Amino acid sequence: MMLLNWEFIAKYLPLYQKAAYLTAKIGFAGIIAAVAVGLICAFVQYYKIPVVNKFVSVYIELSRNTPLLVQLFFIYYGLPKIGIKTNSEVCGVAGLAFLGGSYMSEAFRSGIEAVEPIQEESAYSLGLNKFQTMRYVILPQAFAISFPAFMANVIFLMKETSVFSVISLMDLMFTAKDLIGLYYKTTESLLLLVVFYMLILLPISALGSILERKLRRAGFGI
Amino acid sequence: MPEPVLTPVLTIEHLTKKFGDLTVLSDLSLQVHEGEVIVILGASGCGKSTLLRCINALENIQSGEIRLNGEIISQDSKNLSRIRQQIGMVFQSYELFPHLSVLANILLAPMKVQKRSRASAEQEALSLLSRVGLAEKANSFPRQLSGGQKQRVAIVRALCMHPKILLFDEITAALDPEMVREVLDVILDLAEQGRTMLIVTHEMQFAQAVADRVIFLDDGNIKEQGTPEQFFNSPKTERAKKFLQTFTFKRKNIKISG
Repeated sequence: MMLLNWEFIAKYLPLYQKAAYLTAKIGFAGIIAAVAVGLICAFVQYYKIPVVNKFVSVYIELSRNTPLLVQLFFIYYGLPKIGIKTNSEVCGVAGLAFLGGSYMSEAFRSGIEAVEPIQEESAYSLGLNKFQTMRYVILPQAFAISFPAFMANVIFLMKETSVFSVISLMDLMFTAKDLIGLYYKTTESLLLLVVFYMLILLPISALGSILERKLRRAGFGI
Repeated sequence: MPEPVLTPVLTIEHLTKKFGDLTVLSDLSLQVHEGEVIVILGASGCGKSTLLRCINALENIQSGEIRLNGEIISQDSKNLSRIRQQIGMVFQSYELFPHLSVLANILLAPMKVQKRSRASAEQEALSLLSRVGLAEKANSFPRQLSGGQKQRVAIVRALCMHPKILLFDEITAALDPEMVREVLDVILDLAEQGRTMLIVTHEMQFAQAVADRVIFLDDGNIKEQGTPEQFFNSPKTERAKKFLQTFTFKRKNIKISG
């Protein structure tokens, strides 16, 4: 039977708490930034705004086809080289925004495109302008359609925070690796790591499921 | 039937509409007078629906002019939203907004576009709903309604904007036969009220009953027009005769079994 060193766990619990707080903080900030980037990109693509449209396409391919680790290195070591001073936390948020922006954009775009064009025409024929049509007719339906993909992205991005340790952020992964390196308490360190990730992610998952069901029951277009 | 007053509400002059190389409407001219009910007939693909969509600026046009009470309708109009408010359009597939209740569907444009107060718009919406027999459905969602009910809501939604002219694009084509009547009865009622309407339909008996004037479209232009009596009883052109024949059925050979 495997015995756990409970003393060790109790001793380093506060350290994990701190790390979990940092992980969640940067994770959420990054996700909010990713949503902002995603919305902008989705609109640019939906309305096919010339020139900007092309940049967005390039960005989406670049962002989806490179690992977050590589993106973080570029931001962390690259930005100072072109004279932009920054810190690890900002880099973490920027990295998640860069990676997540494209995933969010694709989720939102597919939601918007799933709304039949004739719904838009129906709104126009009632005299709604472009903005009103988007705001009152398309977005509410698109939101309900893209919600499952949106939630999957939120969870995916939150898990991606585990590479933050490479830019010396004292997140959960960093803490676990550090403790293993110092004390060789691999089992305890990893157990705490798993538990804390679950503590962050399970509530998000549960909330997502509840909202998904609510959206369906509210009679959204699905 | 009352004589229509001769002020054109809608004037179409030399309208040409192309999809790429395909000319759907060519050099079509038409005047619609106040209180007139015009039924547009023609084979599939003759441009009936496209004509309605052009009138609502849902399609851009290649040449010609469409005017509503003198104001040009085009996709480039600055007042497109204001013009469209005056044109009520009902689609074959209803196009209610699925995320909004029946009442919210009807109130959206009067409140957001015309900035009317909820109280006054709601009062009108409810009275229109009860007129089409759907008062108790105000808080239902579109998915809880039958096709015929959805279509009646769509008509109410268009009416609530106080349009000068109503466009109906094959509004019973997607309905089960037993629901066609409830929708057409609403339209007959509107005709009685003296509404100006352009109706695309395949219901010939209904067309005959509701129309002041029948327009037969073929090859992107008006091939023939006249009163329903003239058109249905003595069509002048071969194309119209042939078209009308497609609605009568006769067995050519009776097989003798045994």
